[in-house]
Amino acid sequence: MASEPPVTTGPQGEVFDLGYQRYDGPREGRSRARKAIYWDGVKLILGIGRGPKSKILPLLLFIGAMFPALVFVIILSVAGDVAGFLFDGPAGYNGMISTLLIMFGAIMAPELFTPDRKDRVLDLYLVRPITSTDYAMARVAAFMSIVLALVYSGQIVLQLGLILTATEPWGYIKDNWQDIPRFIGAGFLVALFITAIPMAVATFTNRRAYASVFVIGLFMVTAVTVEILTQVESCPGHARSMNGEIILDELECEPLTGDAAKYIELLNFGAAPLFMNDLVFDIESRSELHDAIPIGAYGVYTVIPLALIWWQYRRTRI
Amino acid sequence: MTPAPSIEINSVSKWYGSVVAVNDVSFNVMPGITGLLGPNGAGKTTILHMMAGLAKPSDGDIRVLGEPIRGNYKLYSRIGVMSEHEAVYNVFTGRQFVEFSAKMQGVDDVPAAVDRAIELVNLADAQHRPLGTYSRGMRQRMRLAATLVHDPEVLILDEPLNGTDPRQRLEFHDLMQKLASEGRTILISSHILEEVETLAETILLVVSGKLAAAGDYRAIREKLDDRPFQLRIVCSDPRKLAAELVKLSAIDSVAVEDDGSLTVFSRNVAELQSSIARLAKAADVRLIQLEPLDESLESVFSYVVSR
Amino acid sequence: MPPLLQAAGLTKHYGSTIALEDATFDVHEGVTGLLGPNGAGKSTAIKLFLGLIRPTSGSAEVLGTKPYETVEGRARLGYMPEHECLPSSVTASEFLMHMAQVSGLPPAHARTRTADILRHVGLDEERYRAIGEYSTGMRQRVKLAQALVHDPVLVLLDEPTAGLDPGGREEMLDLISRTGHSFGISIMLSTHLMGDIERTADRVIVLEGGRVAQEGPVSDFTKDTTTLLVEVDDHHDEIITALSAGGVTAIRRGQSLVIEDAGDAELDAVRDALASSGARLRRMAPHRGTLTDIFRDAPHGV
Repeated sequence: MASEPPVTTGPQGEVFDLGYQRYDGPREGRSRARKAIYWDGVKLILGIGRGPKSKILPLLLFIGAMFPALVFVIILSVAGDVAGFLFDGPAGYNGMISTLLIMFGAIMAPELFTPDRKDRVLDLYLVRPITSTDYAMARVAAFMSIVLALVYSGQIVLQLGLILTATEPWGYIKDNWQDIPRFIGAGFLVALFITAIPMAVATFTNRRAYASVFVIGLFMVTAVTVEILTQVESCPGHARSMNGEIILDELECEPLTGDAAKYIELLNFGAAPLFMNDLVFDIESRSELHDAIPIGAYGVYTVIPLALIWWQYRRTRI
Repeated sequence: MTPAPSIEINSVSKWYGSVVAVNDVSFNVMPGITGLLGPNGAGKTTILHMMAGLAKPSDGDIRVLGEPIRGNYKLYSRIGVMSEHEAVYNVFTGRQFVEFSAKMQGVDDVPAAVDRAIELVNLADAQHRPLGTYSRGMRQRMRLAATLVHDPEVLILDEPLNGTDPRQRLEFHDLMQKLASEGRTILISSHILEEVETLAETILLVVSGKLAAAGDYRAIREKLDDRPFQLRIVCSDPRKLAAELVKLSAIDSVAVEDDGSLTVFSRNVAELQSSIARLAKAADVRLIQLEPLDESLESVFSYVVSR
Repeated sequence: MPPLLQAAGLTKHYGSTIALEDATFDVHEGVTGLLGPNGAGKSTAIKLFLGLIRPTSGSAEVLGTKPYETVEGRARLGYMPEHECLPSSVTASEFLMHMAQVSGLPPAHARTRTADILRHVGLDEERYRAIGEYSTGMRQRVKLAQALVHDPVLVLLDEPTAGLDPGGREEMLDLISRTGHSFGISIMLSTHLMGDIERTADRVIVLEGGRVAQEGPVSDFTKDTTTLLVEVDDHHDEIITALSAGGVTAIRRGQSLVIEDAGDAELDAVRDALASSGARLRRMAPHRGTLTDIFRDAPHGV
């Protein structure tokens, strides 16, 4: 680049060299690459820089995530505690939007992995000075960030609403300040879960639709199957005849699978993060098992998918 | 009496809705090797498909070996078509693939015909291996064998040299010349102009759905009279020769290059070429080299396309 | 000047398949062609130099380091794959800026480099349209641009003219030549088309069956011989007679007359014979080799 400004008066003239110049500037290595891939992932999901159509879905999902909170706050300000029929405040919020979160994960997670693989853009990343796992983890981090934002957006609306509609805002905060670190912690655990399984599924197929359908199917089928196996009760009992009347004694109801039901419950993936949510908010556990076991199940459902993503990208070759 | 044309294209057009892929094209293809050339999207593939009977012209008619081609199953067995992309079942062995083609074409003695075809493309060693193990060039050759197995009189080949290596291209060249010398009609469409230049006796150049040029490419070059010929002359005294050349009315301009050679632009190149030796001798200048710079098929192609 | 790429006894086996066997060669500055059929080992060699696979034995070095041991070595290499590899919904500009950053350039520099590179490869207003709308030729330019945006020392091109029509091929070869000779970026061009190498490369390495069959400057293979070819439309016999009267032997081959060991005396005799016959001289030039000769003369597999 020229160090002196060109002369613009008088009879002199200059021609500037527009030919190819070498690059002598900074080269920042893998950290710059990871940042770039991360932000590119964020923009991909939010549809930034890709035209209006790609922004519709993320926008709807964000509104969807905040909507129950808005409704709750409105009812609260108008009719008071009645709002509790919707869900149990911050503790119940994640359960409320769980279906929405799963939909988000199923539909949006593949966007970060499958197009690059299908269009073979991944090859162009693999020949740059980064590892394949740098790429994968930056994408996972991008997705996690968005899901966190999704989870927290509603919670923040809720908290603000609860504080502002309280008769004594300061008092409310003094009594309920624990809700804030709790929703942050629970939100993180939920977001991690919603990131792990859908992104792992997206790692193994090149078709976005297949990945989405598989994830939705996985949650639905496990939820329904486990429900049938654990909630439907058969009630064996005695029927006697006495004085011409039929008397039923001692109905003992138990789930179809008997004692095993409480373990089978663990197979309902979608319940795992909600269990962790309840743990954080100190609510009575839905499971009859000792806490360590559902925590372990949650660990399996998050760590294993993330490990699979790592492993699969590690061995990816052009 | 001139031989009958093998392929006759009469005022053929093909449109898809408002897109006119082929626009009122007429030409005849004679026995021997003809090259079909044109930029991407010019309509070459559409023309080839129609010639093979795979597509119906929207207007005009096509006759192959004297008969209308469309739906003419008996005629199909006298034509061999190799399209640019073709799904090949990788689990088949090369031999099975050629056998399949032979059976589809109703060949009488299948094993003998398959042997002969595979021998022609020099793949006898690899014939029992699955196609999935072949390199791209080998797959291309096996596809050619499948196209030849029924001994067709007319061969229509779309980008047959895709992925082939120099050695295979030399063999392909020899094979095509052999087949042509047997009286067959071969129509090759290719983007690799340097190959078509050595192989084809005539070319057909299609641009934007229309036939832009036909015939021997050097004759075509001479008809492009809005483009003066460029020649390069190396001699012992360039400026002296240049001074003499400029006096000729056949010369448009003479440029002296950095390396001392002369670049001559001439609209009446025949006159220049016939008088250059005399001129050099009279000026006592040694003539070392004389070469046309834009007479190649590539130059012709580029000039015709940019008209 | 140490070589940019160095292969020493480079061997790669995939099970029982031999992809490369004991290949030893250097790639220096300038444009080097890697010529050979599919399956000859070209793509394997490229993947080894990019550090994507490890050799079975021997070594591949890029600027003195082994690329399959650290990823940082790739920072000064560029790669233009043969296959489609571009996203469709972003613009060339955005895509290049992103890739520049993935190669380590900070955002502001990435932006200016992108603008410069797109200008150098000849993409103007199209740079702000989505890549999905580009023609094949434009796409090839974007592919090349992403290989250049981080100012590599050497770019590996894999069949860069594949699928292009003659006009597009001409433009791409022109661009490659410019990149190698004007921009000063070294190039290794892997292709099965001799014409591509003859038109752009300074040196050629020929691979066959995983081994280096030949290597040397392209000019070695395409140099002028002392055999003179004189192509005339007519008067062949008259000219032959006139030449032999002066002691010069000419043999007719097709439309050409072939004169061996043509020196100054022979040139003058030819000129005079042409002048007196008035024949139309189409071409007068020494017989030149072509890369095809490598495959014509050498026995198969050597």
